[in-house]
Amino acid sequence: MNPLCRWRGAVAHAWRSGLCLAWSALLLACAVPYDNASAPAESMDRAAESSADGFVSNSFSARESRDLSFDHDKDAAPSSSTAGSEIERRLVHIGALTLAVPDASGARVQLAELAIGLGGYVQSERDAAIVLRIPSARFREGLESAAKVGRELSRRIDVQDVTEQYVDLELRVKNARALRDRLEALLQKCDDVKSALEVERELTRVRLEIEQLEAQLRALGQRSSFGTLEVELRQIANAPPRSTATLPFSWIGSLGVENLLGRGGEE
Amino acid sequence: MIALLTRATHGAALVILAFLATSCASIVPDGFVPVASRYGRDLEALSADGALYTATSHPSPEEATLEFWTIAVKRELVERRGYAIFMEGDVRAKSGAPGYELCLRTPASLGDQRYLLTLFLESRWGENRVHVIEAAGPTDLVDPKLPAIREAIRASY
Repeated sequence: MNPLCRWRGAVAHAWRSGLCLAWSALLLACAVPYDNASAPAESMDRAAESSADGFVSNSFSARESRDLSFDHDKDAAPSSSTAGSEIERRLVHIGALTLAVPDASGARVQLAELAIGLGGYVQSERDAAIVLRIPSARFREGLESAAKVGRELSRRIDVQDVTEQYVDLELRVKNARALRDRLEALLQKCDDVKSALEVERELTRVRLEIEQLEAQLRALGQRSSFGTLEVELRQIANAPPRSTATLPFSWIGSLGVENLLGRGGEE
Repeated sequence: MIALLTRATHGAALVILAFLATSCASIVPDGFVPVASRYGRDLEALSADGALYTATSHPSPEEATLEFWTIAVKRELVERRGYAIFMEGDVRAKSGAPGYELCLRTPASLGDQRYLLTLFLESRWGENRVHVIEAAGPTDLVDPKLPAIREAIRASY
């Protein structure tokens, strides 16, 4: 081979290598903005390899969606903070009261009526305790009213801000739904069984993930919509001994149903 | 002329007395009838099914505020005798005098009884008085009558 031919061959080789490099760079550049929803087959395979139950810790796609949602959150932060009220704050109210009451069963009835009156409900009830769920907007009012049912011995209030967690979950659900839609569209286009099975498997995993995320979202929404108030009741003597000084206003002692209805002797 | 003036004076005095009598009176709720006092109250009234409504007044020391009486009553009924507050809040008498209403549940030993207690503190002609209005009876009898009882309380004093 003469030197000219060799030189031409070298140029052609270099040209082909450069073209390949450029092509690879172009492919890489196109792949970067894609989340897992539109990820190429390689990432889909990786996601398919991970187990469906560990969608946060194991699933590549779920983790990637999560990262994406945080990025999205960061991007959205200025506009949301500018808008001020665009993102509704999600607060979880948890309260605990210990009350001394002369009649625990009567107090439980009163507390249940109180919760229902405020638009809430009784979550659980046992002899000496009752757990109320009260709409968050009226939680403070409910707490103060509940404290009056007996003599307050202790009080604890805890408020957790789960806004970020809620927004994150919403975004993850949104991303997962978008991924599901794209996989469904992809499934329609599959012309061989192997690809169709792979897409179907990934679709099943994503559908399960959506269900789990939606359940988490509902649970978090429920937790933030209704505060939890646990009231512990400590029974005290029905008619405490009159150990303290008697009031000098005798008419006060004559008040009450037992005096009014002539049932003083029954107490 | 003198006779005419005397008649006019008597008439005016009657009008004033009538005004004073009505302005100081406690009103009987609809569905209740006044009965002879059994418990030493100024007014006692019964419903046909046995709910009781009473009103009475006591002198109040000058320094005793409505808050003072409210605390004293709560201490006696809630802390010492085991009543539980069902509802409470500020009210006003017909005269505008400040008042406080306590709707209570009796201790279990007394059965399921409702006890509504309203205190008004009034200063009239240099004397302070605390007006005490009570309504009591089984909860299922008293609760349906609460609107009429409250209407009478607000129209009293």
